[in-house]
Amino acid sequence: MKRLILAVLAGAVGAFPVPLAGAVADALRLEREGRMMEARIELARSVERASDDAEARIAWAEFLDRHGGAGVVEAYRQAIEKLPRSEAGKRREMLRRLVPAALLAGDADAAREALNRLRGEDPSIWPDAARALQAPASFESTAGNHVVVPGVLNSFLRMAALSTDLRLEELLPALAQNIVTGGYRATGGPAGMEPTEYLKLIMQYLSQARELEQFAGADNTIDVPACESMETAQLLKILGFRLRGECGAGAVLETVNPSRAFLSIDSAFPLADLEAAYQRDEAFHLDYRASELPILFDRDYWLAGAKKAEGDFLDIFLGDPGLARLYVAMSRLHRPTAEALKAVSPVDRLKDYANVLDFFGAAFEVESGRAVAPGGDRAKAAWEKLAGQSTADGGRFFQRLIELDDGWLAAFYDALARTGGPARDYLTEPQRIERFYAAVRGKITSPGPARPIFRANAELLLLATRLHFNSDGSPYIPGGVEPWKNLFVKHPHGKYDGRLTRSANTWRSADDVIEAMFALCRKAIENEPLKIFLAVSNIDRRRSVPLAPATVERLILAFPLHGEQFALYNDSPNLSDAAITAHLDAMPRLDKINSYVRRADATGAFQALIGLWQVLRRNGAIPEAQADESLRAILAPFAQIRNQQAVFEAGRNGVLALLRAAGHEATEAPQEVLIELLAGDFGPGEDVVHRELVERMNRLLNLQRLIPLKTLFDLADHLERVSRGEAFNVAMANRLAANISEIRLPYATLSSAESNTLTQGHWVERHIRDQRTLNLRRAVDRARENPAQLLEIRGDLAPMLRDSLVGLLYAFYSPPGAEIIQANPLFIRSHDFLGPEARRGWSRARIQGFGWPNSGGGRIVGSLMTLPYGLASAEQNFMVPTERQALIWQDLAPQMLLGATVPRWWKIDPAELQFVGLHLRLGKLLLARAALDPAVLGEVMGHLRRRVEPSRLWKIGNAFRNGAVRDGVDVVTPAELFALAKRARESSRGLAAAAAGPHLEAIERLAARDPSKFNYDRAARLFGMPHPRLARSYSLELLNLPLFPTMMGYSSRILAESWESNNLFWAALADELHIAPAQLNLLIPEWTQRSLERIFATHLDDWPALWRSLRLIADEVRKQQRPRLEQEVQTALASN
Amino acid sequence: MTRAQLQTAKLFLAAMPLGFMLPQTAGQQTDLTDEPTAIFEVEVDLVMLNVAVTDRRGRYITDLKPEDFRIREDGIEQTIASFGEGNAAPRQISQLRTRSSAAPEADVRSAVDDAVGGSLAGANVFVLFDTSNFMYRSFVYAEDAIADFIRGLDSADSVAFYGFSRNLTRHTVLTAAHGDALRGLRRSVAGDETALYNSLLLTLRDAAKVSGRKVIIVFSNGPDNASTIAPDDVGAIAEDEGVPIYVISTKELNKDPISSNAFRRITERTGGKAYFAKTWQRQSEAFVQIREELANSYTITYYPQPNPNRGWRSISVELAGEEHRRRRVRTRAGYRPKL
Repeated sequence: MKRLILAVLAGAVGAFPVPLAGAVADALRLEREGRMMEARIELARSVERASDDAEARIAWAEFLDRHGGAGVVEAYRQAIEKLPRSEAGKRREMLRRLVPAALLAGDADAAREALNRLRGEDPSIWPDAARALQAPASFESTAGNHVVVPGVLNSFLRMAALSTDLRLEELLPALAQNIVTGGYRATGGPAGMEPTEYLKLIMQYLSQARELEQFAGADNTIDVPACESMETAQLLKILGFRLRGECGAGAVLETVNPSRAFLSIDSAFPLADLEAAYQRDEAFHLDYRASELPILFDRDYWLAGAKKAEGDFLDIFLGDPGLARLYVAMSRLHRPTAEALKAVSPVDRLKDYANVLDFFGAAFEVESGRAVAPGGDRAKAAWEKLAGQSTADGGRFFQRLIELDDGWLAAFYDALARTGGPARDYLTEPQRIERFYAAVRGKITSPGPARPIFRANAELLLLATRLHFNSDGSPYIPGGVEPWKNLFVKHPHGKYDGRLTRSANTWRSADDVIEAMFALCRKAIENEPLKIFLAVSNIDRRRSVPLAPATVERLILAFPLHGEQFALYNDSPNLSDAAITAHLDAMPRLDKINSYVRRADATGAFQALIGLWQVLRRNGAIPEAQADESLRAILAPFAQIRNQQAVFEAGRNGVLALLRAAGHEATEAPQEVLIELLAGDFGPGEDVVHRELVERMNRLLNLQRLIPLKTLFDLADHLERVSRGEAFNVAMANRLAANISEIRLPYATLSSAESNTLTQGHWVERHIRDQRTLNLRRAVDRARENPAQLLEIRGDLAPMLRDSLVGLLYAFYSPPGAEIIQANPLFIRSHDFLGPEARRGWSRARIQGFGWPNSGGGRIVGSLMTLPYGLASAEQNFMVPTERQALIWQDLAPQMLLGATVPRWWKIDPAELQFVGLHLRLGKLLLARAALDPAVLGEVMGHLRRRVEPSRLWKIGNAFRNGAVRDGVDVVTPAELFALAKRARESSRGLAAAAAGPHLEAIERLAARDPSKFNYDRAARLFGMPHPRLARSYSLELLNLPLFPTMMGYSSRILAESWESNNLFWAALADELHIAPAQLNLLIPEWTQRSLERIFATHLDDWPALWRSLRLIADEVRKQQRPRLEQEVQTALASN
Repeated sequence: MTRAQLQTAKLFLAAMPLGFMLPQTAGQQTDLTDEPTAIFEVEVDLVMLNVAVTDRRGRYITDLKPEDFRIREDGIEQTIASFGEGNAAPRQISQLRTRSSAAPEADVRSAVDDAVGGSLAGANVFVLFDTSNFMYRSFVYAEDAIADFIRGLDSADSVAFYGFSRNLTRHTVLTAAHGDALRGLRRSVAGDETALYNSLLLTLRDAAKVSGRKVIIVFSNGPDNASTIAPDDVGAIAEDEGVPIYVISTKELNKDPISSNAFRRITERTGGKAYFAKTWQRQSEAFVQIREELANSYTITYYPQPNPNRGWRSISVELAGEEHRRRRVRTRAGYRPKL
């Protein structure tokens, strides 16, 4: 493979004989050193000085190409113009680059022109490129291929909650999806289903729109010639308004029919313009043309399956949820597969299995009439046996698959189709296909996995895609079979399954364990063993020494109560078994503290210290060599918590342990040092951003009026001296009191009704009240004669120490804005470490209660280990969407925010941003070349197939065939582009040749320069995403999974975690605009939040809306930043 | 320097030791000798007050002069920096430089100009409309009432129209073109849950960025089922920012006492008012009253005299003179200076 790349590079280099001119060489050197702006200026200067020099212009064009800069097409064109006639080879190469660059820039004319010139020199090149270069055909309606939507299309989209960003052909499937998920509700009565308010309003709107259409007449224009006219009365009647006041300045619209008026407003009829026309006594005109939306197949096909076949198609569609479900399913299908199914199965028969097809059909693929089953030829017979149908007839095979067993085989097929690499090899071994399917299916198939409104087989997908494997291809079973056998035989958490409990005694191999896991996937209830299995497997995944079986047993036992804490072991993967066990031992000890107050304080301080340790380990402030010792030093004092004084001492010792491990033992300013450490270890020139982060954290802590650690420690020391006879320093106590006295309590001003309803929680209130009422002076006075009692007073500082430590983590993980912390001065103090019945201290953090007074001002309940998600979840309520459908993903937005706030980017070489950017651009280039060359298309599709489902692959190919190259590129996510480019580098086949060019050259140059810096592990660690659910880790990674759909029990959270694109995309943008890497610490959170506010999604699986939103924000950033780049270049040129 | 930065003039105050702030009694053991005298920096905002003066029947008293007002902060008498009535442009008062201000006069003038909106007349009115499903039935009539209110605003007023359900939507950002606000109003869409206090907070943040006189008018029916912020926290921020909040609730007072009480508290402490108007006629009347109050209240600014209190400071506004004895003065109760 390497040989081939070198050959390709040699070819490229051969086309550009060195040496380049001195200035160009200098520029390239600067670029290699990561001094992008200087390189840009040097190249611009060399072009300016020698505007006829083709080499300078080529270097400039290649620089723009490498960085995705604007004007790359023009730069290549100019370079080509300057090439002497004798340089035919070089010209050909430049034209070869220009064609895809122009396609990606959306400039089809430039692409065609370049291709024509290229063909003049090389007639055989890209013979099939014409289709990609043609102008995309617009939809042409014929009888039966469309549905008519009356009135203004945007009004209909608004009423139907459809994004205006959708293409025409995407609208009907999206409408069908909304009908399925939100159009009907079960009544429980004989009628079965009744329309929801959403659907009723659409129907009422359509009725009003048809009236308006009639009013508009044959010319499709609503015309009101004057205020005082018959038309005014007619129009206003339809709209539900009347005119108040005389025509002229005083004329205003007033509601007369609230139902109609509501529709007029909700559909955004231009009432304000109409009113203004009346006030000016002018005519009013509105184009009221109906729209035609393309129908998949044709209208007759769908009518054949409709409950009612007469009337308007749109009304029939809205009134038949089963038909809508089938429409969704068929639209999602790989088109040739849909055609094959349509050919063998009547529509009404397919309709009966539309739910199965909808959830699992995206993985079905028919190629040349045959079904392409996971596992290829080796697995074909097994699938045929299970389905009872040959794969030779693809349509019948999939028909059988969906009809067989209420969807279990389809779900199993879908799960296996999403696997790749060793998982695919292992799971599609024919005997295992049968064995594991039998386990999943069980004896009773109903209810099937496609019955609920959202997919219910999340566990099946997670098991298939998240299994880990040994180097010999066998599945990795942490601790061996024995601990898992014990989980079922001894069932310490209760019996999971009687049959498995009986059979577990006979387990011998990994297959036995995996089979049991598959068997549990069919249960609708929470699948605890699988969760344990995946959680423990994740811990071992990154360890150099696997967990000992005894540790695995401990983890299994600990999971139900303390499983959320396992992320700690993932973020520091080489912790010793002893340290893990010590941590596992410490948690139940805290749970046994009888006093709720002390337990909450001890748990809070403990979790905060562990959380701080985790951050400092992740960012390297605590070196790996110190990991074990420092963790044990934090844990040890929490072993014996007999009183509040011990809580305080444990907290304080924990702080000292952290500082010691990070090399700051002797500091006089513990809080300041900790904040500096949390902000991260910055490099030269990065101090301004670092200071901004530090100030941001300090600001939040001040707003919450948390007591600085030094104040608490000084006071504790002073109390200790007082116990030995020193005079009490009232001023010191007063400083503490001054901080606390300003804390406002939410219930101080409340009515009794509010107080009674307020559910802030007794222990939270008491925690805050105890601090407010603390009077150290009085306590010292009372204990004056008793040194032991004087010492105990230090325990009164424990709640404050807990809050100050917890506050550090809140400040670190706060998303941009941090509105809830800024507005609620009790937010951090209100963190509830007990929860209802004092059982939520270790569970997932979540915002408790919404609304007044039930929220009591809002607080987070649960473990700090999951605080990043909890905080992001609270903060998403303060985002201001710009579109109506912006924030439909309540579980996706927090994960996106978390992915931007958890990482810190310091001491990063700008060339590392370029490394990522080059991959994304190379990925796009490969797609553009695939659009031009069927051979490359085959290679590209072959690689994309590993994580992109067949239906999307078909869409890409279809777009390429129809001149919509950019549309095809836009359905590939940045993470997929990155993986595609990586594959191209590793490929030994045609893909490597297709990838040749300045991007690949630059990547290879970087990799050769410093392999420890420019590699995929490091790129993933810098610009991947945390996966708190999928990997139980906050470390950044790229798991390279297929995009998960929205799933029951997980909503869109695992979709969000499998979407790994954001940071890769922002890194590439920063490279393009030569933004310093440290700036990303401020910019990525801001860009992420803006992109979430700009999402215009239609339904929960509409991830393309997220991708569109990222591109939109990137365009805004470019618009803002490009003038700066240009200005800097011009200033530099002018200065010489 | 941005407008927002100009709004805050930094004053450097030599302060008494912190211990001075706390009450002490005889016999306490106090060791202050090792406490150095601190010099600390406090950002003292120019304080702006919206003041409504009414007689016993609730009729507005107009044509009052700056010298009619006595303003105290924590009992310390203050000197008025600027004064305006209704929608007229505020004017700066002579002897602006007070004994408290160490800042150059030009800076102070500039800050005052900026805070009160220079010589611009009119108020910045933020209308916050509840489009949650609780408002579903009264949605259209409420829109009519709001439309009437916007149409009737003084041409000098600027208006922003926001809607909210679970999240805030800025349908029309602050504009002098009232027609744009009406378009924004007619674009609002019925939503789902009600996060009134979250949305009010975000509106406040927007209002705080604008110089000049500003008010927020909330049109809601009360039950909040989605906010994570408590009304009193929002009220405190509005109080600090000097933004009066008016609430028109479409629920009767006794139907939802919890929401009603919350509305009352936040409006009273900010110098605004709560109206409970179930019918659209009542709602229209409430809007008329708010418009009247905007046209008849006073905008007064002052720079606080030296005050060691870094926490909440009470404000009292009284009218000097026997003839004003029975008149009611309404303004915000106090504020917390920015740390």
